Amino acid sequence: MGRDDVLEYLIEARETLENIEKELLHFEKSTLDGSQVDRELLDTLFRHFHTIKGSSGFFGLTGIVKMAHAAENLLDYLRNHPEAQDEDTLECLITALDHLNELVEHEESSPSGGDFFNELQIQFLEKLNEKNNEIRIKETKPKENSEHNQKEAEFGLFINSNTENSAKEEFGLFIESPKTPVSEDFGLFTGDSTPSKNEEFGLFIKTDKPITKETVPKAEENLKTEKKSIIKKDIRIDTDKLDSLLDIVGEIVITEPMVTDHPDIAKLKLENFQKTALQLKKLIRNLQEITLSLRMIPIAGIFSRMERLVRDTAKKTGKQVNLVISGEDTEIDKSILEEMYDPLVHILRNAIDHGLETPEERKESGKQPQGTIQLTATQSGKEVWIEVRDDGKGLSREKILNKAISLGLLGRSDAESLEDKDVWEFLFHPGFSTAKEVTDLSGRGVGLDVVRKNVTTLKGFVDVFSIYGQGTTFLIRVPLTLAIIEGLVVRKSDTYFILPSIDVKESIYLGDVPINELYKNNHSIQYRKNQISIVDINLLFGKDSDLNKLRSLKEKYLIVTESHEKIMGIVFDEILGSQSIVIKPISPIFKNINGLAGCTILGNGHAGLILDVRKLINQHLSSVTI
Amino acid sequence: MNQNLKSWDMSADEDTMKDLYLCFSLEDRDYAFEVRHLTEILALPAITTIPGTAPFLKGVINIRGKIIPVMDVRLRFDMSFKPYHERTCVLLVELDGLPLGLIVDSVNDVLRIPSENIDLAPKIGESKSSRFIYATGRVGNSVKILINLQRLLTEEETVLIKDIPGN
Repeated sequence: MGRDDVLEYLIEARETLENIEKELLHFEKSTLDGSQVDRELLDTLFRHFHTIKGSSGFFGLTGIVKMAHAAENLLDYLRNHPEAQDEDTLECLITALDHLNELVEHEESSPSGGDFFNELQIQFLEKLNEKNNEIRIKETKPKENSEHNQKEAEFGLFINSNTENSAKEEFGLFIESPKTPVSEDFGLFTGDSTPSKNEEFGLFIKTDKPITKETVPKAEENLKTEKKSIIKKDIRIDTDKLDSLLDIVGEIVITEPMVTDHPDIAKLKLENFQKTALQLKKLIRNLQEITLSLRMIPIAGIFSRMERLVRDTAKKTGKQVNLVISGEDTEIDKSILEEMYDPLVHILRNAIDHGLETPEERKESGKQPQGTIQLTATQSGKEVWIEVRDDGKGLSREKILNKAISLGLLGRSDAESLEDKDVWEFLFHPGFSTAKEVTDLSGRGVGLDVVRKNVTTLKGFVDVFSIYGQGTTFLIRVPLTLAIIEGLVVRKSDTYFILPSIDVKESIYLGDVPINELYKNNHSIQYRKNQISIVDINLLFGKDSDLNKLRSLKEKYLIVTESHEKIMGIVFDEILGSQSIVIKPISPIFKNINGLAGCTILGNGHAGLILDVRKLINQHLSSVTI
Repeated sequence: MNQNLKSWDMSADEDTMKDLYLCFSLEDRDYAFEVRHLTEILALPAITTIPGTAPFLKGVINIRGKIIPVMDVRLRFDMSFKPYHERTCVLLVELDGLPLGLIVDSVNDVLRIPSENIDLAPKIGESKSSRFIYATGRVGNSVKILINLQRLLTEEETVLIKDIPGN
């Protein structure tokens, strides 16, 4: 068995472990009020652990087998004696899961045969086995039996669950025919298939043997077909292959106008050619859409990991948190999704640690003792919005301003005139933390600045809204995908620029529109009801502007751009039209380039520069005071 | 197996390229650098200027779907700018995995300069352009100036680029 097979299996194991985590958290939630846990849930958990055990055994990963087996034992007992379940048992299962995750991770990074690699794991396994005995003793089982169990826990992997099962009433059927092929030949699967079989086909237990024999293979068949359909649903693909596919499609998208609008045929009247060209254009667009969607995966993967984080953080801080997740079906580019993990962890931790009050404080201010955090994803145009909304104490304007003043970020006299949203901006300043003391959760000053940096590299934005006493909301907006955007291609002297379509509000032919010159390099025009600032792209890059020669402006175009409710006009010589742009990074040789988001290759073979409109606007508005 | 093949190929490449230098000229001087850095020689394509960078970084070019920055070596060596003509070439090189195009007046030849003909450059002052030169190579009666490509982009320059207004 090759290393590749093992690695492939480990990915699968991770998925199962993720499912276990989800179910365990569900388990915890449903038993919070002291009620007994749902039998179905226990069965699912049991099956998951069993799957891990079985397949890991196949790959010789003994540590994982031992751990999963112990957890499985515990669950098996709980299934029939749900009254034995308590908080400690659940904690044991969660810790077992953590150890399994650790083992899988260790096996991935440094293959060592999958056995335990530290003392903690061995100790925990002992504890887990003890726990197994403990709950069985509680139920006044004879002591011999438990000793017997302990022995088996370490060696007779599969026998144990079998004897346990067969001892039960429901499985009475198999006692009479212990030589059913299922239990002998397919020992590995019995645990898996028998319980489910019995669950689903309990109806047949009391009927005659021959009928059962027929139904058994059928049940297995059902399972098989179910598995098949899952396999059909997703195929694992090497991301390198996907990337090169995306690259090629990107090239095709670029080459298409190069061919169909080729200057050699531009002046010819080719009606039929135009028709086929149009068809080709349509097909290419479809191809591009499908290729892009290949990289899209639902955001649920990351959201469900947040549940565990919230649970642990809440425990550590002693706060009660209800995490409400919605929109987890929203799809987003895989590479963006991966980058979203850290920022989300940070924001959620902040929300619990700083945002939410303790249950006592909440009662005092007339709120429910349990705080609520809403984690929501929605798709909005070509962006995905991820919102983290807590109903905690909200941001304190005063505290933040005091801190900002003490850091020398602004003068005391300016503080009054700042709008709330400008005050919240200070939170994103490096080293800015209003936490009074350093906890192991936060307060080290490594904070929201890193969140913003991460999101900005994805061409996204983070904003914060807060009402004192009512809560805080963090809104992260990221593009659906990084590779291709819709852009408006424009020309300024001999350079081609691309403005992302999202940022473009309108284009105006300057013609006779009156332009006001406020002073050198500061022009404005009347746009709708407002005067907006207009600039020359040369100026933004530190060159001299030719806007001052007002006469030459007559035949130029003004693109009105908007970002973050700030509007600015940029003057260009020519508008070439809107098209799909494949974003290519600018070589790191060009350092500190502020106004550019990347490069692209245009239909005419020229490299075009993609403008970073948000940065340009901020840069301009900070250099010009209106 | 695959990897073995690759490394074997590489060593073969290294051997055949040993001591080979690409010679180009600026003004009336001959320069050379090791051929192993060179990927391609091209006629000058359309350059898209990147605003706000150092003057010797002329901008980017499109080479079969790849966007590659280009540097005017004359300007890098503090020589005066010379308008590009039909013999102007772009030497495509790779430095630490980064592709870069070098604009030079003209390309002359690929020469074998055995190591015994190479003398480390005399340290005459620390003038700016002498930093790029690491040795001289004797070929017959002429002398080629051997340049250190890595030095073309150094720390000092990043400071320089930062200082440009508008950044």
